[in-house]
Amino acid sequence: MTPETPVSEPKTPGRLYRAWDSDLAYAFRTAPVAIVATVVVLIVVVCSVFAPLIAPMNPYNPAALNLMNGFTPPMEPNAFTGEVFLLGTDGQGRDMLSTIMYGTRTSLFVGAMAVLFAMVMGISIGLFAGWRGGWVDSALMRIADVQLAFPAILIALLVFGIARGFIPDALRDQLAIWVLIVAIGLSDWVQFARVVRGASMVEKNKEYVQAARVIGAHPLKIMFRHILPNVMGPVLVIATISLALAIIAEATLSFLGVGVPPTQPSLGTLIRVGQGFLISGEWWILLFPAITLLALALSVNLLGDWLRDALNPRLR
Amino acid sequence: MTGAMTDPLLSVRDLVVEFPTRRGTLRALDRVSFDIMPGEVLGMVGESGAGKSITGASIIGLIEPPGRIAGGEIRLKGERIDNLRPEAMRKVRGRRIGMVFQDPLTSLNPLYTVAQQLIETIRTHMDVSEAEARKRAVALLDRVGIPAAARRIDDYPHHFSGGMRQRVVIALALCAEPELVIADEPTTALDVSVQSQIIEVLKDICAERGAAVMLITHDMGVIAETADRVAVLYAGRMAEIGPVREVITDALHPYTAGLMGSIPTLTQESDRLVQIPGAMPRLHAIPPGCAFNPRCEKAFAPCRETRPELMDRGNGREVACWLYDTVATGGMRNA
Amino acid sequence: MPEPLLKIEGLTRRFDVSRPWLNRVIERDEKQYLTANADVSFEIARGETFALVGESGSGKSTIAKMVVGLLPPSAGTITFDGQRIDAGAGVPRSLRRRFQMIFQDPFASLNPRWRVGEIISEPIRTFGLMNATDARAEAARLLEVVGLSASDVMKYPHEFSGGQRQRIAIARALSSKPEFIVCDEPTSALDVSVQAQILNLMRDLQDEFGLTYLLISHDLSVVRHMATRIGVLYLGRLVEVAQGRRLFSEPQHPYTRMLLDAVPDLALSGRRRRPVEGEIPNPISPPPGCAFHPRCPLAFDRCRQEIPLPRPTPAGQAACHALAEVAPA
Repeated sequence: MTPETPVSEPKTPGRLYRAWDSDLAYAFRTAPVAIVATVVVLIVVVCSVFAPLIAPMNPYNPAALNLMNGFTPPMEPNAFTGEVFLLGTDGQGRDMLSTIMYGTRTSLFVGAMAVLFAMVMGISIGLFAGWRGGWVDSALMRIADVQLAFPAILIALLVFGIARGFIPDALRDQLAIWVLIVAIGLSDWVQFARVVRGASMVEKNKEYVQAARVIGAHPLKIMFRHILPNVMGPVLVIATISLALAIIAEATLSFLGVGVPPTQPSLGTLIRVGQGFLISGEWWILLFPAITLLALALSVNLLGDWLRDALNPRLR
Repeated sequence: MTGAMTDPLLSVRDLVVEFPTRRGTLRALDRVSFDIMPGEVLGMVGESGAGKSITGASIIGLIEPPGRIAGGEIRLKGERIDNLRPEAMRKVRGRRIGMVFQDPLTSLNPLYTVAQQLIETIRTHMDVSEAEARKRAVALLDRVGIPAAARRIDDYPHHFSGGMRQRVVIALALCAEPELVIADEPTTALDVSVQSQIIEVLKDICAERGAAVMLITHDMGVIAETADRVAVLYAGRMAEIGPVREVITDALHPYTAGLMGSIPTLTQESDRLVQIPGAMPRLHAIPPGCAFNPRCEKAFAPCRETRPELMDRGNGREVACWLYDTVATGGMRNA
Repeated sequence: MPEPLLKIEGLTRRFDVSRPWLNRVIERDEKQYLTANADVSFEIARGETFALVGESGSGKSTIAKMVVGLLPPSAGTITFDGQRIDAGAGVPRSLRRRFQMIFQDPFASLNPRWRVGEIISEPIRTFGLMNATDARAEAARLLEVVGLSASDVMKYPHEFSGGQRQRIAIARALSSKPEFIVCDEPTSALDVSVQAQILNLMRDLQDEFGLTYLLISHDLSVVRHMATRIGVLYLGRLVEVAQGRRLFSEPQHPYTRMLLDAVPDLALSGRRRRPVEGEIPNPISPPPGCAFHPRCPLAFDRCRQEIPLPRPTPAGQAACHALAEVAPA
């Protein structure tokens, strides 16, 4: 029983060093697009999450508003008050920069929660279908196929409409944001389910899963402790790309006026409001929220694309 | 001494193959030298990662990028082939060097019939008519043991069983009458009972046509029964070359000796197998000196410092080991 | 003979390999079955190493999977230490702890996302044998038993070589203190020098813990080295069972003889081999009668019609009509 002599293996380095030295981190360091996208996403996320702390004003506090400041163009002193706003103001004299920060906050929250919802639902269904196989799998995947045949935004609208019918008026505004999350999430779970199902069908035939079955480990334990960690790579890729899509879906719904309540405007709401001013010449009310949305969605999407390429050939 | 009179068919000198990675350049082959004589079967053995397949790939110019030949030379009948341009290399491949791979499905195009592939290969390399090429193809298939060859030649590869497919691949490798056939694990994917048939066919048909064979395999049994000489690779370096019988029964290199002892046989009576401690080093962690020194029971000072070169031990035997160096051992061992 | 530890009787497994239902209806196809194992019976005594050899399609891995409960048998019974496991019934938990399995590919049999310590102690935790602290200590101890270092518990599988991983897989199999281990091609993914280490380790552990092995392999020389008794499978049927080395010195069944003749050997006998005839038939439509008759040099009329039953031989049993003709038992 001679042990295999380790061949000049260095001492186990720290976790942080190993993360920095990993193939993924290396791929990241050498991908300028990914770095720029990450910086953009980080700036947007930090600005929106800490909006109450760093925004120049709280645009939804009526006491802070001065109607005289209405329609101030960006970087120009207001004709009456002489105040200067980086991105101008809207008709009520709200600072656009602050409005966008608060709006992004709502957009990001709805997007992230919707993706989380879709992820949990899709992973559970996908794992179950992949594990059971047979008719259960066929049935679940046909449902998924049917849903894929409809545009996501249509499904979200449908869910939204049905939910409206059920929720009493008094609660409507309070629950609107959650309804939106469920609506977007329900339109998006299919991708997660499909990927997880496919990957878990491959994983479940691997010997480590058989080894767990030999000792009679519980199927739920095998699904979530054994298989799930091994299929998370592609799930993360989809989650990132889905986040971009969810943010856009939220903006679309809000633009159509079925999204978040006016008390919690999102980027979509801002764009909808802004487009009314385009003809009258107040372009900044539309342009800056639109640019923010574009930058955010594009960066998240690029990041997702990069992640997919970076994980793909290196899946050991 | 028979081989020494003729010039080698293939001569590999100080071949270095490198794979650049971000953690530094890996040397998959480090100054490997050997010859193949016309008509002989040279076995190439080693553990996975020792570099035996890369040796074969570099001879036929098919190293996967980013890998590249970084040094040394390969000569076919005295003419350098390691620096040929891709088109020139394509002519050598197939015409002068035939190839048989482990998985017959990778060598056969599933979209064409066996006849189309054989005839095309024959006519690419030889100036014969379609009818003549077909006649040759049928004869060749018949020779490699495909029953009813004249009829089955028009079948697609998937109509054949694994063993039959490998016979077709052998026919394809030999149809342009090459001087050298490189067979990389030709029987690994096959069952034992089929494996012996394939080895037999490969050996006989190459002998008939005077083609030399470089047989790459991890299976020492196959080498013992097929090869004339055997080359043992370890960590990208040549450990030992010699006539197959001598290398198996009386290995010079401690690694070869350990390798032979570790193989269970159908005749031995011992209860325990000889085992070499440890495992072959990964290419990025090859120790200084002899690559085998940390696992070697007989290692002494020079083994840890300087890499031993191949030394001629007479009778066509060569070994890279300090135990056989008169100066290093102080003349004590070299009796 | 004392009560065997494992007794297999009439074990049969069919796989449904039909085309999808709609295709069958449209193209009027019959349902198709692949018989991976038919009527396989053998016994394994405590402390011995019983090996099953066979080529692809022989159904050796299917037997291993049925024995450890990964696949339900279509018919037949498995009796472990007197407790019968019927076809269709699951393996009771009390039995599961007492047997384990070692798999072929050490790169697939260890969960790449788990630490080695977790992998080894999984059986302990699943069967609730120890508390978490003890389980961790036990994992470290087992690593030393199989020749690795106790500090390796914190590492991940990808940090180890193939041979080291197979040691980890063995440590895991030992952790529930089983009496019986099914080894499915334990060394066929390893290099020969590492194979020797693993085979030696398996032998040492057998002596130390009184283990009983069912060894599945296609490599006759490995089987010869390890087994006390050997069963030879051909197309799902057991054609011969014999005492370890006597199978090699006096093979009875024509298939066994052919197989032995086909193995390339280091012995350098220089003999010109009698080329083996033909290839293994498609297991979906095996030949009638004795499945080996199309390749058999001894085949006669009876072989084409009647499936031979096992008959006693000097060293075990063999299922061959020709054998009975030559030497009536």
